[in-house]
Amino acid sequence: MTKDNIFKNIISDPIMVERGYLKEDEVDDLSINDGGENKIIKIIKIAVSGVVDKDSETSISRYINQSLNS
Amino acid sequence: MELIKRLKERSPEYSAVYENLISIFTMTQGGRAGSSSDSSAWAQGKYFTTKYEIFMYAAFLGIKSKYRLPLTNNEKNISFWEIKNWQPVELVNYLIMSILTVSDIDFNQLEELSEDEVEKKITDLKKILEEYANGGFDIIRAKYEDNSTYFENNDNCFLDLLSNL
Amino acid sequence: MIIEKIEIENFMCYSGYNIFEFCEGINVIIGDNAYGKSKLYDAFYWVLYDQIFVSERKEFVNTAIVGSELISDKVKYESVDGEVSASVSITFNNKEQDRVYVLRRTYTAKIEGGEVVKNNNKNSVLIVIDKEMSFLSGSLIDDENQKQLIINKILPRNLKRYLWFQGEQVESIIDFNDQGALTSAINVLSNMSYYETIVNIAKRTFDEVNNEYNKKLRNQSRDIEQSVKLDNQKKTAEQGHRNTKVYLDQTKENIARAEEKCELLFSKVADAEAISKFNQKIKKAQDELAELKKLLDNENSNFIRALFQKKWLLKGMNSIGKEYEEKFFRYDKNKLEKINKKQILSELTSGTIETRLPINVPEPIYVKEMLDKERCLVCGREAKKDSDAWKAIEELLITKKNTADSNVNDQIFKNNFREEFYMLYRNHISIEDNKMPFIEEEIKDSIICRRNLKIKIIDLQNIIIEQNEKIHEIIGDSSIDCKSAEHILNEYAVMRDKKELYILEKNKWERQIADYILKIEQLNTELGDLVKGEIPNYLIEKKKILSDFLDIATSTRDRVFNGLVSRLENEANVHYTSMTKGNQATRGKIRLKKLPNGNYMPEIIDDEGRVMLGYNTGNLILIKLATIMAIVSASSTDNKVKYYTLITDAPFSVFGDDYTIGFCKAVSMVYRQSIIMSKEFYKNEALKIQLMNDSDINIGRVYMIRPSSIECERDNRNNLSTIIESLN
Repeated sequence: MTKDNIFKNIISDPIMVERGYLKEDEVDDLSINDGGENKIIKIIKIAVSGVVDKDSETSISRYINQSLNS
Repeated sequence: MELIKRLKERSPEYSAVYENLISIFTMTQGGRAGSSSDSSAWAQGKYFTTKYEIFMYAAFLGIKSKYRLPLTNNEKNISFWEIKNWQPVELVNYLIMSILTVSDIDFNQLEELSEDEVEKKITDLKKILEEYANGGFDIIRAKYEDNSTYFENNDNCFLDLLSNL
Repeated sequence: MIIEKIEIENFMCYSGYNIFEFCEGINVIIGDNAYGKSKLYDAFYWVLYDQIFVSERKEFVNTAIVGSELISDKVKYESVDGEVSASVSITFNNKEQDRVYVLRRTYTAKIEGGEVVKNNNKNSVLIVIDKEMSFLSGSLIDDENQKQLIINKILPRNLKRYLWFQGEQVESIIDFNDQGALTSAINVLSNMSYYETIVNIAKRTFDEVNNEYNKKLRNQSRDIEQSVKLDNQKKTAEQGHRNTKVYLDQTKENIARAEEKCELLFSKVADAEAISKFNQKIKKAQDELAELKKLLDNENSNFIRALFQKKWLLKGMNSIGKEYEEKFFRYDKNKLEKINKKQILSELTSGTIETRLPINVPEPIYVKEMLDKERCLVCGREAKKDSDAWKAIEELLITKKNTADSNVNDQIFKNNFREEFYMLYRNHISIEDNKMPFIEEEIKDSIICRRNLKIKIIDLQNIIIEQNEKIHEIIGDSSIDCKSAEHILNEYAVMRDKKELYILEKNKWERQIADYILKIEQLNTELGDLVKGEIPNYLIEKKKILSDFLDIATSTRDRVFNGLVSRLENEANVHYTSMTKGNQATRGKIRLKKLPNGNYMPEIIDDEGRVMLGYNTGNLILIKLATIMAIVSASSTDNKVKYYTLITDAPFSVFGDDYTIGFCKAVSMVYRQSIIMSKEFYKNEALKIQLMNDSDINIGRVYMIRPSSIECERDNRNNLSTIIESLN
């Protein structure tokens, strides 16, 4: 699976719409290359990218934390 | 003096040649007293519980068939129980009545005879009984030799034998 | 890659030089048990992995341990001093790139004085030749890593167990009871590990932010002591929450197992109940039968006795009775006449006529007339024969005679037997009246009664036979017997009760979990209340986002996994359908059912989604094979396995002929190349012909193998080699 595949799988999870992060029609339009405004989408991208690139879990967590701290 | 009472004191005889035939159909017993239960007779495939029973049967068969067959002297004869012990009494009496009927004894004359002569008549009566029984046994034997399965597969065989006349 | 050929030299039972050539399609090696099929499989496996499969231990064992047993006994026997080697060489052809790899593995042992020199830890040697173009002579690969890369290209690690397997391994390759097995399989289809890792990261980051948040809460607290206390309570509650979750999972597992057992038993229960019912019917019938037989025995013995007791012996003797009657009356009449004569004479001679008769009793001759006329001449009333009146009149006659004669009798007659004759007469009358009329009827009744009993007995016996047959039918179809029928019913009841208990337990845990969640919330609120300052917004937001992230990651992982299971299921059904095409009877389709504990169990369902079959070995093996095939085909382009060869000696014997051909068809459709070892085609000539001529089967090379020495000489393996015969 490509990074994009994994990313799309995650954002198409029903919880995203349920908890108000995305609207239903927005789901299909997004891809991993798009700059997402949403904080959660940003960290999803960081996670997917890092995992497929085989970065260490520690460093991926750090990036996520950094992203959310600002 | 009583006629029938004294007749009943006697023990009739049958020819030894029928011993085997008798044992086929009669319960074997220890001694001459027949005290086995009825159900075991059936279970053993026997029809008569005592010798006198089959003797009575043979006698009636002979009388009904009008078949009187004297016993020959050279055959060994076997005697068994006195008539007075036979059961049921009504049948025994009927049998005696039948013997009296088919005999040519004149009742009135009988009453004129002396004691010895009466005894002789009684002996005659016993002989008549034996001879009719002998005839009956012969009929049974003939049937058995002709077709032994007649007795094997047919519960009513002895009854039928009486009727087939 | 296609396997072009395998050359086997002095390996196990293959003494000397042996070669099998293969092409695309389904290649079949036919031979009976112990003819060398497994050893051929071993040869393939040994080259790539330096191991052979030891059947008794059901596991792979290294060359180092097996040692010189690898080498053919014949060649060992034939050399006295020197070296002997076993070697196997496989030629792989990557048709797309026209690139050929030759892998040859050799194991050498020393012989001294006819005995093999034992040397432990001696290894085999693998040579890999890479021919960049098939016509080139090729270069030797020295680097071990390179060798492994090539081997992995030929047969990737994660696929090998699904492509090269012995029949005995099918059971364990995809053990549905083992969650790991299914997960490995799913991982072949798609790399789930990414999702797992993302979940782990989400968990980790959430835990971190949670701790930070809680710390902040404590620090901002007006009452730090209280905060710490509440925090500790919260930690306890959270631990309790976690523990209870574990208990809940365990209980769910128990429910799953109990359900599984129930389902397994359920199909048997119906049979067991039926058997039980039949047995009850049989018992009832047998009891009735015993009763009837007793009755019949009774009737029979009564029948025999009746000759005497019911006087049936006298059937038809009425005429004798009548004769006696006549004789008796004649006798009586004569006697009376004589008496009268004598009396008259004596009276005449003595001059007195005495009337000894009572005045009101008529003369005997009048009495006789009355009897004959059947009418009382005194009162004029009718007295039919044998009526009470008639008998009364008769009495007179006799009484009269008795009273009249008793005195004179002794004088006139020597003997008086009259009483006895009369007794006989009464006896005859009594029997004639009371017994004889009924004899015919009684006999008939008894015969009918016995006949009916016999008919009833035969009917009952037939019923018993019928019920027994029905039981045998059921026993034949299923695997229950009479004894276990009761056992199954009990077991089923027990399992059901257990399941109920577990469900109650589950509810308890769930309630507890809800309580914990409430408690934690409560504590959080209290902690929040104690906070005098404010938690920075970014922290609150961060916590929420990461919490949601965790949920989303988990949910996604589950969704993807389930989706892959679906895909696997569908693919497996494609194969299952083509394998069972020849057998219309009970096909159904495979469903992988998710259990509460997360495992998946396969079942066969019909068109309406109802579970069809219980487990029997044949079905389960088919499902497993279909699933094994699905794992590789689902992850390949077009669902056709182009780059890897299937090598197996599938346990055809478990299925039966129809499925064997179905299996071969399915395999030849899915795999570009396959090598199948089989003994089914060895015994069954018709099947072999079908295999080689069926247009649906893309048949490759077909070989027949057999050992050089016959069975009884096999103990001496020193002469053993394998004869290979090509059939096409």
